[in-house]
Amino acid sequence: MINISEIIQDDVPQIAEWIAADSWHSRDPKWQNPEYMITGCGLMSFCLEDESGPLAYIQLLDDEDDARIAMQFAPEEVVNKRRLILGLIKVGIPVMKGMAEGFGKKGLVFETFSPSLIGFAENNGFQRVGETDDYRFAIEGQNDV
Amino acid sequence: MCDMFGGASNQEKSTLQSQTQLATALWSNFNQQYQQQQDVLKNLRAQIGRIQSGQTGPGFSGAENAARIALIQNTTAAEARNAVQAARSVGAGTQVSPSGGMTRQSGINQQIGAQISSKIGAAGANALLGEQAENFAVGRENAFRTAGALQVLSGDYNPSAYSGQENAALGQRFHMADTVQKEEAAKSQAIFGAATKLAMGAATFGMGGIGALGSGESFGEGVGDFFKGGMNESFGTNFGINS
Repeated sequence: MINISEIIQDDVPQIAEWIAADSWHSRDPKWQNPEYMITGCGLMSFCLEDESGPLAYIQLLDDEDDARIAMQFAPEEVVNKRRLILGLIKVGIPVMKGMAEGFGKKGLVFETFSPSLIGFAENNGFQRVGETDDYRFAIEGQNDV
Repeated sequence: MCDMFGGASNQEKSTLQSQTQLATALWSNFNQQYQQQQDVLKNLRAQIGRIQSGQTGPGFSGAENAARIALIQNTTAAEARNAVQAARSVGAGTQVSPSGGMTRQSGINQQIGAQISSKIGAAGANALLGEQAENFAVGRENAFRTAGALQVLSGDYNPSAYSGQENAALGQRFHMADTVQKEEAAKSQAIFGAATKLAMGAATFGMGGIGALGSGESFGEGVGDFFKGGMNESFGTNFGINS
């Protein structure tokens, strides 16, 4: 069963391991403090998990009118792509969209440079923001003005 | 700057006091926000469990569903007519046998038409199955999305609702408090050492990680190639429907 849970201090070592194994985040100064991912930080921080364990650590951040996604994935040998994608599609993305809506945000946005992830995002209702590398899901009824 | 005996100057003491007050306020804010998020997640977790164990139903309205089905059926019928007509046009006059040629040609046309109709009929049936799967996939997404929105919007987000309440995560909060205490200790050292990095780190922590993770955050490269095998390979012909 796919579900969500809070991120606690005990999760920090695993988050740190996943960051270290992430070729991008490991070089990103913003990702040098895994403690910032624990529940209580950001608009909402939670772990997406299935019956076998954590799939991803997710944080929604306040970004003016939108909620911005920060997400740390596991190395693929730890969480294969089928588990990850099923978790994101069935629970992760719908819940994030709902949370953004609940916070009164106009959209849910994230940045990516990966063509494959772009395809994934577009299949799930995200659209590129102008010429940026941001992909945004517009919350219905909150973009009319 | 330290005095000649190595003790803290009045300015340093004042700075330390301000920093301590700031850290206390930030910790208080963080703790409050932690309790709010924790309760939302706890309730949402229970709701997600209920949704997954039951039927979330279709996502399209009756009219939308009917329109989609009609579109598939009309398209299928049109494709069948066009294909059969095209086959007949191509076959017309191509072969006339001295003995009963017209009869044979008619039989061939019927066979071609039946084969085309059968194939297009199967494609139409697959399209209808796909439509139904998409309908329920949208219903499932709507259910989870609604649950997420309702939990965030619920009265549980009122901080006063938590006053005086103990919860099962006391031990976890102890760990976090312990971390903050260590940060404060490090921060004091930073102040006396004229370093600001750790102090800024503590402040960012209290602000909810917004400054720390920044507005330019992203999915990581850890997932950058997770579709290299292709969606079809992992999930069949339609990623969304087969999820």
